[in-house]
Formats: sequence, C-alpha cells, structure tokens
Amino acid sequence: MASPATSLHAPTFLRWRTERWPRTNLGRWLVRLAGAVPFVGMADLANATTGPSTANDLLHHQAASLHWASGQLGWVAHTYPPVTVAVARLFPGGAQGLAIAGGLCTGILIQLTIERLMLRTVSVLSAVLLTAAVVLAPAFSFVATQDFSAFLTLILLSVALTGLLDFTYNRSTESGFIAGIGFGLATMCDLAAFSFAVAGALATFFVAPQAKAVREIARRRAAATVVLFPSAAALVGWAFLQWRFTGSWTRSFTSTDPGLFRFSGGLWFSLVRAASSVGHDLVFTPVLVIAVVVLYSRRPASALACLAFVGCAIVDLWVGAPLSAPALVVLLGVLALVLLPAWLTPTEQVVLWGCVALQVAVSYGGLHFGLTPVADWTHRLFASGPLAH
Amino acid sequence: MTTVAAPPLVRRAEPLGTSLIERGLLTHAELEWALGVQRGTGSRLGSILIAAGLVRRLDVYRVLSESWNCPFIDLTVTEIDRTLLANLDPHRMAAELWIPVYRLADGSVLIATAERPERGRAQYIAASLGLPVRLVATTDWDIRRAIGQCFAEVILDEATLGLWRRDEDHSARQVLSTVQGVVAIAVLGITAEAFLIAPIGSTVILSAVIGVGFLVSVLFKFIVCMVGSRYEYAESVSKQEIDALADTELPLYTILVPAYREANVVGALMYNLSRLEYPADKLEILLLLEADDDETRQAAIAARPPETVTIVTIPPGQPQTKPKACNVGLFLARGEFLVIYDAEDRPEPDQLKAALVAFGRADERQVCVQAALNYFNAGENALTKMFTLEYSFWFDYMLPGLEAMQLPIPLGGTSNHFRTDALRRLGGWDPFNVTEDADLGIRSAALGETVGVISSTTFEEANSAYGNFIRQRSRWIKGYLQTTLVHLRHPVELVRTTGWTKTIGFALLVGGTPLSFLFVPPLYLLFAITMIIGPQSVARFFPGWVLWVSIACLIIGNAMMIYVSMMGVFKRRRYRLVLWALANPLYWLLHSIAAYKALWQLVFKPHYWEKTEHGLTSDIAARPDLP
Repeated sequence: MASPATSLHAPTFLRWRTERWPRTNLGRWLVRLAGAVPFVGMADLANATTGPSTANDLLHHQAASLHWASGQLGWVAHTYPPVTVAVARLFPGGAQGLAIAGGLCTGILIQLTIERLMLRTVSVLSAVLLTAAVVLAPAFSFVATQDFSAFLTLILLSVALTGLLDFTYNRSTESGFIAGIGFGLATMCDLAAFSFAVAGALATFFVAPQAKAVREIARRRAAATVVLFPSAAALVGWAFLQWRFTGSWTRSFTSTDPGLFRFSGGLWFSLVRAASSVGHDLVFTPVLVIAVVVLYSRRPASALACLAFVGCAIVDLWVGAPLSAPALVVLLGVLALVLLPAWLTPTEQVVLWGCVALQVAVSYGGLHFGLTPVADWTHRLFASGPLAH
Repeated sequence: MTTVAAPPLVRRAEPLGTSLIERGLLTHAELEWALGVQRGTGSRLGSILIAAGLVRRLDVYRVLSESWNCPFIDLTVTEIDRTLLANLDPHRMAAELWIPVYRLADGSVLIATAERPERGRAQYIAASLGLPVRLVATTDWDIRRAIGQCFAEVILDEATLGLWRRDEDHSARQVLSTVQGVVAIAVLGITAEAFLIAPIGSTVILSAVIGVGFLVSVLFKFIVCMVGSRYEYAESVSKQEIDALADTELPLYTILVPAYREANVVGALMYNLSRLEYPADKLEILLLLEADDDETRQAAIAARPPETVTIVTIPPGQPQTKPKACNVGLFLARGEFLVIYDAEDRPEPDQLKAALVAFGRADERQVCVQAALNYFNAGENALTKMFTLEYSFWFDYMLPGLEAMQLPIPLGGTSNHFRTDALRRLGGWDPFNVTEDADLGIRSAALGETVGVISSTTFEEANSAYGNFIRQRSRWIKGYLQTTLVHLRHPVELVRTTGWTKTIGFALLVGGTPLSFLFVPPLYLLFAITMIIGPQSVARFFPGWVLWVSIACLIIGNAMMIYVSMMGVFKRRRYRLVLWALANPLYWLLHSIAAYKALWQLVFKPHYWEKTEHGLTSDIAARPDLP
C-alpha cells in the first residue's frame, strides 16, 4: 500500500494477481504496442483493399444517426449496445476508424493473455505459442478488424473470465469486481454477453470445493449474485429506460438484432441448429476440448463450469443473440487459455501441443468449413490487395 | 493538618513486595507472579500489583511512603492552596507527578509527590517554584485528580477554545467565514434571480447539475473502492510482527472512552477492554463522563473497574460535545500513544500492538492509524443489516483505497490511534465540529501529516432504531458539511499545501457525500414524475437528454453503490447480507432525510450534538456482558 504502515503479504498462490508481466508499466505498454502494430497494419490494409466492414459500417451509422440532443426521446431505441455506440460516436474515422480501434485493442488482449499464462508459471515461450494459436488465426484478425463491437465484447469477456477464475478459486473480491464489471460492460456491448454472465454465475457453483456446509452454499449463492448483478442491473436498467422512453421493453435490442427471439424454424429446430453450430465451431478450438478433458479428469465439476459457457453460447444462438461464428470461435479459443490448468502431466503436455498444432492448422485449413465470411475476407484481402501485386 | 501529623514512620527500606507481605496485603504466590510479570514487562512492581488489582493503590503508596521515609498525605481530604499554582504548567506537573499543597509555617511549600522524594527532585521542584519545599508522598491518582480539579477552568478553556485561539479558521465555531458568507449570499441571490427570469431553463440546468453531480460523487467512491480492493491481501500488520513485540518495549498507552448517558453499556466496556492483549500496568484508561451524568458514573463504579481505569469528570460548559470531552482526556493523557473507543466497542485484542507496529514502520508524519469498524449485531434488523453493508465497504475498501491513493482520510468516530504529542501539535479535536474525527483526519492532511489504516477491526453496536439512526446520521452529515466549510475557507492555500489531487479528493468525499444525499430526493422526484405522467409529457419542459441523463445517473449511481455494498459484505464473509444490498436506494432515502435535517441544523443549531443512544441491541448473543 502507499503508506509505509502497510506491507504486502499475499499468499504465494496469488502471485499472479499481485505481480504483473512485464513488471513495469512501460514494459506492458510496449508489449501491447508490439502486439497491436500488426493488427493496425492489417486493419489499414483491409480498409484499403476490402473497404469498410459491414458490421463496423452499421455500428458507425447507428452512432452517427443519433440525435441525442433533440427534444424527442425515440433515439433511445437505437442506442443499444450503448458502450460500443458511444465509442463509435467518439472515435474518429468512421468504420475505418473502428477497424483501427479494434487493431489497437488486440495489443491489450495479447498482453493480458500472455501475462495470465506467464504468472501461472507457464514459460514465456509456451505462453507466446499458446497465445499465438489464438491470435494468429484468421478468425481473430477478422473479428479484430471487421467487427469492433464483437471484439470489444471479447476483450471484456476475457477480462471477466480471468477475474471469475480468481474470484471463485481464491475468493479475491478485487477479481470479483473485475469479473462482474467485465460481464456488465460486455452486456452493454453485446446482448450475447449476458448469457456468459449467467454461465459465470453458474460456474461459481461448480468450481469451489466442499459444497455441503450450509455456509459454503450461502457463499456460492452470494458469489453468483455478485458475478451476475452488474450484467443483470445493466440489462434491466437499460430495458427499463427504453420502456419509459419508447414504450417498449425490447425495441433497442430487436432493432439492432431483428432475429432476436424469432426462433426461425421453430423452437426445437432452432435449438438443434444452434447446438450443431456451436459443436461445429468447437472443431476450430481443439485446445478448449483438451482443456475440458483435463479439467474433467481432475475435478469433474470444473469441467461442468466450462461446459456451462459452451451451453450459454448455444442459448445465445438459439434465441438469436448477435453472436457470429468467427467471434464465437475466438471466444472459445480465449476461454481455453483461461481455463487451461497450470500443471500438466508430460502426456497431457504432448496432447496439448498436438492440439495447439491442430488448432493452427484447422484455423487456416478449415476456413471454408463453417467460417465462410472469414474465408471470403481473407481471400479478398490477400488476393486483390497490394500484397497480390 | 492531618497529613503533617502522619503516623509514626517505620524507618526501613525493605523492598515493596516484602513490605506488602509483612502487612498481609500480598501473598508470596502473588508476589512471585508479579515479579514474573515484571521480568517480562520491565514495569514497576507497584504498577503491576495495582493494575492486576492485587493491592489497592492507596496501600501501595502508603507502604512506599514508609520505605521512602516520607509522610503520606491524603489529597482527597486536603485543601490545596491555589495561589501556589499560578504560573505552573499542569501538563508538566501531571507528567512529573507532583503538586504544591500549601505553605508551611516556615515559609516553605509542602509538595505532594508520587515519585521517590529524592534530594534532586526536591531541588528541581524548589527551583520551579522559587521557594523551599518539603516533600510528602501521595498516590499518582490523587495528584492527577487534584490537578484536574485545580485547573478545571484552564482545562475547560483549553478543551473548548484551544483550537479556535490557535487557528480560528480551522475551527467550526464560526460556520461561515466572512468571504464564505458573501459567496453564499451571492450564489443564493443569483440562483433566485435565475429562477425568476428563466424558471424552466434554471430547472433544467439544476437538474443536469444534480444528476451529474450525484453520478460523479458515486463514481469517485466506486473508483476508490476498486483501488482499495486491490489491497485486500495487504496485511497492514502481520501476526508475526505483533508477536515480535517485546512487552518490555511497549510504551504507556492511553485509552479515551467518552461516554454520556450510557449506563447500560459501561459494564460491557470493562469486559471488552479487559480483553486487550496489552500489559495492564502500561494502560491508562480514562473514562470521560459529563458532570451531569450521575447515572453512568454510578454504573461505572458499580462495575468495579480495575485500577487502570480513571473516571474523569468533564467540567460543565458549552458546547457539551464528545470532542470537548476528548480534549479534556488529551489534556490529562500520559501515554505516548492514545486511542479512542466508544463505550460499546469491542476492539480485536491485539489492536493496540498492531497500531504500534504500524507506527513503528511509518515515519513521524504519520499521526494516526485508523482501525476498521464493523458491527456485532448485524443480523438484528433491516437497519443493522444495511449499516453493516455500508461499514463493510467503507472500512474495507474506501479507507484502504484512500490510503493507497494518498488522499485525505476522514477518520471514523472510534478506534483512531494517535501519537499523543502529534495530536497535541495538531490542536486536538474541534469541539464545535460534530464530526470532529473526520475533521481531524482532513486537518492532518491539510497540515502535511498522514493517516494510515490497519486491518484490525473494532466491533460496534449498529443502530437498530430508525429515529436514533436519523439523529446519528444528521449529526454525521452536518459534521461533513462543517468540515467542508472549514477546510474550504482558504481553497487556494489548501491546494498549495496539499495539491490538486488531495483537494479534489477531499471535496468529492467530504463535500460530495452530503451533497449526494441531498441530491437523491430531487432525482427520485423526477423519476417518480416520469413514471406517473410519462417522459414525453416531461420532455415538453425538459430537453430529452437532460431527463434521460438524470434518470440514467440515478440508475447507474444506485447500481454502483449496491455493487460495492455487496462486495463489502462478501469480503467480510457475511454472505447472507449480499442480497440486502438491493435495498440500498431505500437506505439512501433515509440518509436524505437525515441530510435535510443536517442542513437545517447547520443553519439554526450548528453546534448541537445529536446524541446517539447505545445499548439498544436485543441481540443477546452479541452482548458478552449479559449472562
């Protein structure tokens, strides 16, 4: 603490929360910058070759069309998701600017991911390779530069998941704050994030040991409440505001995502289709699959927590929340790195590295297998851009 | 006089312990025990025996007087010649334990002393008086009591007006300075004129200011809490450090317990203080009682307090406030360190030692460390639950956050540990400020001193009655308003002394807290109007964005306060209280009632002390004093 009256005596298992990587502020920003530069370059290249992305363009127009200072109140119906709309309104350069902003944000995600792995006693090389397995995938570049809203959500969910793990295992309320606020802000970036907040709350029930004691059950309920509250408050608060100002509880959600709660093809069919789609996306994230298997072999309940997130992704797709396949693939990849146990047996390590290689291979080789927008974008980027000449 | 005609002296110089055994006042086993303690603490045998209650103070000093070959004088039945006290410093006499009694026929002065009457001491006192002296023995308690009585007016004057005389601007005796008065009138005048000329425009601007002001105030608290949460594993003092303290090195520690009309809890106080892990002979407990409070005095005597407890009667006079009583205690305190506890407090047993470790590690600029406060009757009713939610986030997140950000810390009402000398240098407490503790914390920062936080907790009784709560909160909020006005008398100087960050932090915390409570009802009103007649109707008069921002600020602000409250009790592992945080908006409404009462009192009764009743708890399990 700042005062000399205080010293730090954190338990050693918490070193990853009390230490940072790199240790200095300057070092961390240099890593972020180094991580961001290629993606900013890619965003610039994409702007020059493929033009502004549809998602970023829509977001930009949504932000630009708001007349918040007018006497009418109907504009409230067009402001969801408010966080990304606000960023889009404030960040200059329109859709191209949002692509650059996404590129800049990648540095933060890369540094946070490597830091998290490093401070869980993973070597630098392994941490970089594991992160690279997610970051170097075309889907990652696509989301970062083409869908700012989804990418911001992804970063916030990544921060929230890290916090959730520390909060649940180590009972750190600072991490509880981070998890809750991360989920809450993510919900204000993308409606699909709310289900992940619900999954986070459920995870608090699955992860901690010794559930029989009455006090422990009370603790889990309380933990679930503090994880879920910011998201629930944000969603309910927003719904309330739009109800009072537009007369509808859902107008701003449905105006952004017309497919919401439509269940095209019927409830059952849309559920099967959503499950199939997520199962399909898991092919792109074999590291997550091995992480779940390893977790299951050690503590089955933890694997259930992990599966709760996958289940919530299915629910998102089922209800029609705006969760694109590339964004989901990247999210599952990040989730794998968050949940990967710190200590692996030699056999597990061999399998893990095999899965990492497979993930990299699939991320390039299987683009046409379910990630068509990414494949198209990659093709246009490298076939018709300056690199082709 | 009776004292001069003392019993015939037994001219022996036997050790005190042996003399006491010979007189049947002590057993061999008790002496062995006391000698064992003496080896551990290095204290005087007499102090150990008195503190342990093995021998009466009077008996110890009577035996000592015999071994010193010196007559004993009973000051409780002897009239002191006050003309001898002119130009003498009561502080010095209390510290050196002597007092002139009267002139003898030979022109010399009889001096009562509680220290060995050696030749050098006699010469020193004679030089101080400028007269020949003759020493007689008495008890330390008699000397302090006599000084208290003889210098009552001086003590009262110092306790009441000392700070004001030294530094008028740091005292809340005057609510507004001349410049502040002029500014206040000008602001009120301009506001009134604006409402007359453009009522709708003025209302719109005021609404926007209130909405944003509320959010900024809450956001500041939220950010500080987030910073504070980063230090939840930072132990201010470790168990090992406390264990490493040797009893021989422990200094005399003074505990001030101001109490008024608290006869029902004074018994519990004795029990709670007896649990402190600190050598009894190195404790000085001053129970500060008002002159008109016979009930508490009788209850305290009936509780048979140990010899370490001294009941001090505060001389009557206005203002009759806790800080005035504390200033009297400070005047009499002998300890190198000093702490304040309320009568119903239950400090963790090792708290004094934890504070010493913290002081030992800090530099001299650190004048105070604040222990955390929490409640022992949290589950009693809705109000005590909300109180616990609030205190948990305040002491576990806010104060560590303020400390980490090096912002001024408004002290809590109890469990503030001070370096006694530094506290005297600061001028003690302001008896005209009804949150004298918060004011002292801010004054420390304004004068370049620092305040730290320790993780040790004192458990208090949460207010369980709504009327009592409103009274207590109105006093706290009025005190925050007083403190804001006092420290903003010279804003430029404040910025120059403490810097922009601390000044803004102070303004947002101490000034922003009452303002946010005052802002809540207008925001709720606007909210209710939009609910009843619909926002489109309101929007005819208000720009839509003002309405929208005001309500959004209300929702976001409340959500943030709910969240930090949830986290606070989660950290305290009071899991069943987490959902109670949802009731925070209603709790804030209670604060708003108190805030408007405080505002009214600031104008009409600025120094009135709203008394908080203690001992109302029906939580039997929480009352260790009950069978």
